[in-house]
Parts: sequence; C-alpha cells; structure tokens
Amino acid sequence: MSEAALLSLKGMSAYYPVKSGLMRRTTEWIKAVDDISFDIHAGETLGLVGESGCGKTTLSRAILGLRDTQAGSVTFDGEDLTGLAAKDLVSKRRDMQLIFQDPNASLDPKRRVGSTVRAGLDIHRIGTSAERDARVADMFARVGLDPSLRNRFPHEFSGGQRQRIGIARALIMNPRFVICDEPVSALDVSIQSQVLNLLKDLQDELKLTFLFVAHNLAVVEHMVDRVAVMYLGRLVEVATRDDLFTSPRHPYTQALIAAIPAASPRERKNRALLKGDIPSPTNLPPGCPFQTRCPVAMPQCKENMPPYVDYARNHRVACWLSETEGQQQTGVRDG
Amino acid sequence: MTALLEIKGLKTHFRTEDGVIRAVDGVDLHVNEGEVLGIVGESGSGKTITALSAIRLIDSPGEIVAGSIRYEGRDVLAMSKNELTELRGDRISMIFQQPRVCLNPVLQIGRQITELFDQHRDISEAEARENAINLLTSVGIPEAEKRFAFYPHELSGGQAQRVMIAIALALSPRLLIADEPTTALDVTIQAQIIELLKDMCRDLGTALILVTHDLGVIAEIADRVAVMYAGQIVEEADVYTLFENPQHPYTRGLLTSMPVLGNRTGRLSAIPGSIPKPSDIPAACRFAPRCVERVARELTICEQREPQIMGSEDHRVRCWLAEGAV
Repeated sequence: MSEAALLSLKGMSAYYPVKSGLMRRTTEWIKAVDDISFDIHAGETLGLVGESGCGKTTLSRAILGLRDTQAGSVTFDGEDLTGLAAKDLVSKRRDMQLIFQDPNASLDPKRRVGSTVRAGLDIHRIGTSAERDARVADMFARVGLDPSLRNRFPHEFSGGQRQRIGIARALIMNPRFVICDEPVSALDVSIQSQVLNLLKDLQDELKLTFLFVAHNLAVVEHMVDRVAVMYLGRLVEVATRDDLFTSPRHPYTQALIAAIPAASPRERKNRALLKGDIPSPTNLPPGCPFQTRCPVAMPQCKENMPPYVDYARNHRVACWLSETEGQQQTGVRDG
Repeated sequence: MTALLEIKGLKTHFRTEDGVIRAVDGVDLHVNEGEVLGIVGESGSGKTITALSAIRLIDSPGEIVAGSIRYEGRDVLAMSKNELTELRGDRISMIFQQPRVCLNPVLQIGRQITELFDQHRDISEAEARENAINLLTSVGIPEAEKRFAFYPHELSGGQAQRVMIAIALALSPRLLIADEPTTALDVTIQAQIIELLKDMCRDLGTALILVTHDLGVIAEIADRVAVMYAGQIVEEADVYTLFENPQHPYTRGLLTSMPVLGNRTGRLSAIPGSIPKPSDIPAACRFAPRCVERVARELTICEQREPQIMGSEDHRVRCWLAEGAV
C-alpha cells in the first residue's frame, strides 16, 4: 500500500443498542461493525462480501456518515471525516454517492424521474437551471436512457431502467467514490449483466472508485480488483481478487466459494458445506465469531479473537490457522 | 415411464382493469415419477402461475381458461373440493420462497406437522409426535425434541425453510412443488437447502418440480428443464442437453449472461432490451424484439408468425431457427 488511499477506514466500529426491561435500558450492544480497517485506492473497485446480518450495509452507511459510529475513523482524500459537523459533511458527500439495491424502493413514486436525478444539483445549487437540465439529459444518455423519458414517473419504467435512473441520480454529482449496494440483486438475470456492464463502462469513463457490496461471489469476481469478506461484523479476509478466488485462506471464504452453485450439470460436486446457521449477533461467545460453524476450529479459537495477519502482500486474514502457518512459513510474526 | 403429472395446453389468464393478462399461455409439461423437473424463467415468465395451476391454487381474478391437468391419469380440473384437499395434502405438496410467511406464527412448529397426521392419517397423538420429531431430525433441525415446541419466530430463515420441507414431506407425497425455495436465503444456507431437497426427494422417491430464476440451482439439481418466457415454454430438454446444446436464443442468452466463477475479464454478454409487459406481449415470436440471432440473420418470419414448440420428446424448442436443427 504505497500510494495514498482515496478512502481509508481505521478501526471502524458501529454498534446497535439492545434495550430490554421495563425502563428500556440498554442492556447490551450488537456489534454490527467491529474494528474494520481497509483502504480503497483511486480508480479501484473493492468488493465487500458477506451474508445477511454481517454488517455490510451498516458499514456502508457509516462510511457515508449516515449513521453514528462508536469508534474508528474515515479518511477521504486525506481528510478525516470523523466528527465533522453535518453541514460540512453534506458538501463532502457530493464526492461520495450511493447506488441502492432496490430501485423500486429508492425512487420517489410521485416524482418525475428527471427531477429525482436533478435533486442533487438543486440541493448543492450547481449551475443555472438550464445547465442542470442539460446535465440531466447528458446523464440519461450516459446510462442508456432516452433523455425524453425525463418527465415520466418511476412506475413507467422496467426494473432495469429504474436501476439506470438510480445510477444516474448517484453520478449526476460527479462523485469520485460510489458505494454500489447490491446493485443487481433485485434485477432479473437477463438484465443483471446489462447493468454490470454499464457500471464498468461508467467507471472507466468517469474514473470512479467503487465499493461494490454484494453476496453473489460470481458477480463480485467479475467486477472487482480486491475483495473484503465480512462475517458477523468482523473482517475475516482481504485480498486481491486473484488471490482470494485462487487461494482463499479463511475457512469462511473457502465455504462461501464452495457454496456457489455449479455453472453446468457436469460440475455438480459433493461439496463441503458449512453446517449450522449464522448465529445471532447478540451474546456472541468469546473468541472467533466463526467458531460455531468452522470445520477446523481449534481450542484457541474459542478463547481469543484471532488477530489480523498479513499472510502475504495485500492478503490479510483473521484466522488462528493462518496465524500459526504464517509463523511457520515466514517467522516474521513476533509474539 | 408413466407421467405422474401431465399438463396439456394450459392457459391461465387474469382479468384486470387493463385487460386480460395471459400469464400462462399454452403450456405442455409432464413430470415422471421420482424425477426433478426444473422450470426456469424470469419475473413475469409464468413459471410460478404454471406451478400453482398444477394444484389449482389460482384465485380470482385468475382463472384456468383452457387445458388439462392429469395426476396419475385423474383429471385435476374436474376434482371436487374434497378430492382436491386429499390430492394436495397426500399426493402433492408445495413449498414457497418465504418460509416464514407460510408457517403459522402462533402454532408450535411440531404441531404444524402433527396436524397433518391428524387430518390425513389415523394414528395416535404419541405416534404423530414421534413422527414429527423424526422428520425434524431428518431435515437437519438439531435437538428436534426441544424445538418441537418452538414458534416460527424462534427459527432462522434456513431453519424455517427446513421446517417447511418437513411439513411438505410429512405425508410422503409423490410430488413436491418448490417455488424459489432458496432465493430468500443466504449463500451458504442456500447450498444446504439444495442438498437437503436433493437427498430427501431421492430417499422418498418423491418427484420434484423446482421453479427458479437461478440457472445455478437448475444445474445442481434438475434432471429435465423447461425454460419459460412470457407465458410459454420456449425450450425443454434434459439438463445436460440444455446446458451443452441450447437451441433457443433466449436460453443461450441466459446461459452466457450468467456470471460464472473463473470469469475475471471482459464484458458480460447481455440480452438486450427488457422483459415485455404482460399487457404488451409481441404478437408473433414473443422473444423476437430482443433476439440477437433474428437481427443477425435478418429474419422476418419471427415478427409475422408465432413459432410452435417443435422437436422430439427429448428436446423441444419454440423457435423458427430450430426447425430442422433439433
């Protein structure tokens, strides 16, 4: 990590209070995001992968300052955004935009789509009214929609077209960093690849940096440069795409890859499947959060949280197994 | 092999304010004993309505307006209410996408199984309870004896789907219809449920109709596949033929646009355009406006006449191009 990162997270933690009893006192905390650090470099796409409840969405919202955090910092383009006043954060957010999962839920049904796309320009008072309109028309064309459709309402569009509108809304501000939160999982199969291709094209044209949040690993493999895998609020593995898919280190990453359905019936296999369910995020046992489902759990996994180990260059793992092997192989870890 | 369920010329239409929606428009389909039939299609293709029609779970404004449905030779469309109840509980059962919505939230999960035995089998309460616990164990619910008394909200999504499978298989039906059974589940849980369905159906000799949008699920589990588009079957073949020698341009498009593990570069191939609105179905070939092969070969017939499903029993295709190719 020589060059400076565009976005840098250090020790991010975001908890939800659990209230109980007559007085609704906070009795415990759910650690939705627990001590997460990673960098995203300008122009790259980092994939963020994990199952429901692993904290992907909470982390996305925390990065954009849309929710409070308990600890940690977000640095964007060299500037620490943590603790910035709401007013200052608004101007920063021009550079950071979000594409939502469900275009049906994220577009205002009573508002013409052109007006939805233009909203950011209006809020930030960018250009004259005519200039704003011209920019909206340009953005419609870029996402593959006829600009004459601007005056229609969301229900007049198909799911794929609505997602294009959602993309136009996010990109109209000329952001440098975009979080794509499951951008195709609500779309039909034949439409998904259209939207994925569009995102890649726009990234090249507009020099965008993406955090690509998804649960479909085959989609992630196609879209990203590096991958971060989350489990129950913790980062378990971060690596370049090729390293992660070719030699995954963490047993959870291995299980996620094994769980992907075959691409053809000849590839049917007896897979090593994870046993059990994702445990409830309250009352987690001490030690590694994955211990209850891990096929290779050891006694120490039940006692202590595994530290982050740099297994190789740009390949970080939080697993006691890698910790032991890493020591044997390189001997670089000092106790 | 005799067909367990045979559907011929099925048309299920919905009368709405905007006119008649032809959700299922001329579907022929059969399932053999112990076979896994996959029905694959996108939203609005009619795959779910086809499955619901098979056991007459169609409510107004929907109506089966044409066709025949035969279960072991008996006419399902002519059955009385009592005969239908017997058919649905005992012979054919169904599981859905959202297991939590389908479970009774105020009834213990074990009771939701034993009430089936009360209605359909003449056994004692103790036996029913024992059967239910055995079933819960066989679908992979740990400590089934204790969880017998759990309520649905105490289960995870994966466990709730396991309970649904236990309920569906409680009376050892000959046919199970599963509508997107893994779509609402997480990746690792999805794989568990596919394996469970595969094992349970094989062990009980139950035939399975699996309705899904996910070709990966089809590749894992199906013996034979029907691909649906805009209310019709466009291609039907055994799973190997369908994946290795697809004939319909829509099937080919679906297969090549599916992101596959190991594909790290280049563009994904995509099917242009979008699925037609049910009120706006093309008159001739329904896929013609999106078909790249029609454009490449400058075919005019596709926009003039509707192709019929053609070919042999083993491989049927609804495409003008496939004439002679199959």
